[in-house]
Amino acid sequence: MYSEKVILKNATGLHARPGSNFAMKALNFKSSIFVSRSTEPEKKFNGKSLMKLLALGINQGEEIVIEANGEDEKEAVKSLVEFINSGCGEE
Amino acid sequence: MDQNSLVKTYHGINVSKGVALGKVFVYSPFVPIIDNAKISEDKVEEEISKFKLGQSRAVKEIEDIVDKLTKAHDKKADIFVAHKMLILDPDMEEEIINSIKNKNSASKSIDEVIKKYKDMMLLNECECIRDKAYDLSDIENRILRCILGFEEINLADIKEPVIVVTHDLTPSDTATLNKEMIKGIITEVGGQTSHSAIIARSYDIPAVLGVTDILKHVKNGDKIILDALKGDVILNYDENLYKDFEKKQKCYLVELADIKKYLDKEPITKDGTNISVNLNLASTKIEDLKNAKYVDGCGLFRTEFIFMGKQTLPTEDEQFEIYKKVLLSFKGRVTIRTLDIGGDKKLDCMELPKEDNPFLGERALRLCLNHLDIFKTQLKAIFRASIYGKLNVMFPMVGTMDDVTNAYKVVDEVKKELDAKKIKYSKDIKVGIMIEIPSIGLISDIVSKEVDFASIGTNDLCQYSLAVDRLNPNVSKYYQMYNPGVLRLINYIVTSFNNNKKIVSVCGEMGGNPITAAILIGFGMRTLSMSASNLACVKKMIINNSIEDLEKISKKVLTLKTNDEIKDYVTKHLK
Repeated sequence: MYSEKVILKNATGLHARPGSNFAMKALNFKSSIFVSRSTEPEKKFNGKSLMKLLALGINQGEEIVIEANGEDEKEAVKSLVEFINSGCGEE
Repeated sequence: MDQNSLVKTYHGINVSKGVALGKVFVYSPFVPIIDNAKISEDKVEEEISKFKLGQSRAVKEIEDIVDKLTKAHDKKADIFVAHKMLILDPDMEEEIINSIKNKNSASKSIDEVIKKYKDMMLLNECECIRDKAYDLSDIENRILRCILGFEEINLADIKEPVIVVTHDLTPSDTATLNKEMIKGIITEVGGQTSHSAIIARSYDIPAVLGVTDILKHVKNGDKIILDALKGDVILNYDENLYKDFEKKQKCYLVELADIKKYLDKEPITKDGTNISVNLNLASTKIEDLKNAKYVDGCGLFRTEFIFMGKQTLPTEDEQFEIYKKVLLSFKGRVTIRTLDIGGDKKLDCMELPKEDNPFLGERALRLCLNHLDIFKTQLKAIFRASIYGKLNVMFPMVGTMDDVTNAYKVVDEVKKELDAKKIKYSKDIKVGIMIEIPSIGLISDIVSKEVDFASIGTNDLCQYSLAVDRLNPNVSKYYQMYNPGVLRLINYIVTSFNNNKKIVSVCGEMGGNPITAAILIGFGMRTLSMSASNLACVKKMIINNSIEDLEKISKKVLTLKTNDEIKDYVTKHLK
């Protein structure tokens, strides 16, 4: 298991478009991937599920924990954190 | 004459102006049927494969749509990429399969699981997630239809000019519709603010909505006339009537092209007086805020939308973000109206008692003064946002000086609370009132000394002056916008505020109608606020007339006896 914390900096949080970009990216990894709010670490949501990410509805400025479990766990978390820091693929 | 007697006219609400003549295209999209009966053990595998079949067919359809949209460089492609992800969502898939294993039919499982997610999204604080919830209904319908192998009837493949007749349109219908070929839209349900209306207006497609049972009266290929200037749908017409409408359509198109030229012009009268033209807003959507460039400021920012369709009250921070956004969007002043709810406008997040006369009941400011927590939270959010622009705060439903005193007292308390916490707010906040109750209008000489500004809400002012329920169709002829009594009252309000050098404006229908706007300018009003669709025609009126002419017209108006006399006189004399 490997995890990192990251703060959502893009304008719209982890919503419709950024959310689908995130889930799409997560699907590329073999590890299982979970996302949770730092304030509620026990509520883990499947990072590969756009449905769940939308239901979680993370807003701009919130800190989240990205956790991965599996053979490419470290690479997965690093790459997703990098993705969030770069603005979730939004222009 | 005989032929004429066959002419059939049906009425609806004209939400997007224009005239269309052409063939009917009946659009009756798939209505899903949910099988609620439990299935037997041996059917489980069959139902699972049904779901998987529906899922894969749905994905194929969406890939085709994405292809088409991408080729057309249409940004809506992104929406459908997200739809595809949702249809293939691993968690959703697992839950649906588990539900089928629990002996529910495929259709019931799909319906229940997707509804659950939809409900979760509808609870979200953020509007953009709540909007996405409606996309889930589209996705559900698509999967259920694909299971049955029905083709998608869509509005994208229409190859010839048609007038679409349908029960209602959904977001995915409108995302793909072929706007070149759709000359008109008629629906059985909906109104000014429904999705179909917004789309029709943004594409400039004439539309009449809420034509009850129209689908029973038309079939594919029928020739019809859509008069979306009046709100009529006409069937079985003869050659002469057709020619009349052809003319009407041509005139309208010429007029429209002419009016549109005025949208980005400065609203200065022929004799050089600048009239401040402002926008009414009820959202912070990009397509609405983009009109900020044509106006001085926002004369009415309605805040009800922030409270509606939610299970919980919006937080101070959530409201702050919205007010900040609107204040940042305008160079000039932004007038934020505090919550105008109660009576007929209900909230999901607040239990309100049922009233016999809701329009005369605990509405707007009255309700806020009785629920100080809600009122103060809103005012704090508004004040915090004030540093991002030029803020006016306005109270609706003010009837007496006591209302003014009480509301101002709350403003002072809120300011003190913010000061105590060292939270910054602008020192240039103006606090004013709406004038929509005659009793406050009639003491304008007094009240104009006590408030920073006033805006006349002409819809309610008419309703309360004329004792007419403006939503009751049986008394609609008693609701008169050119009523001499109402106009005299408005003249008194405008004169009183001008005497005390306080700004008085209008934000009701009268501000967006060139005829009434002309009268108000003649009375001495220099600030108007209106919805985006009226900007061009009101600017045109301002640019083509002089203050001198308008003053003459208004002077004459004050001597006329009836609504119709006034309307005819002004229409005739206005340039």
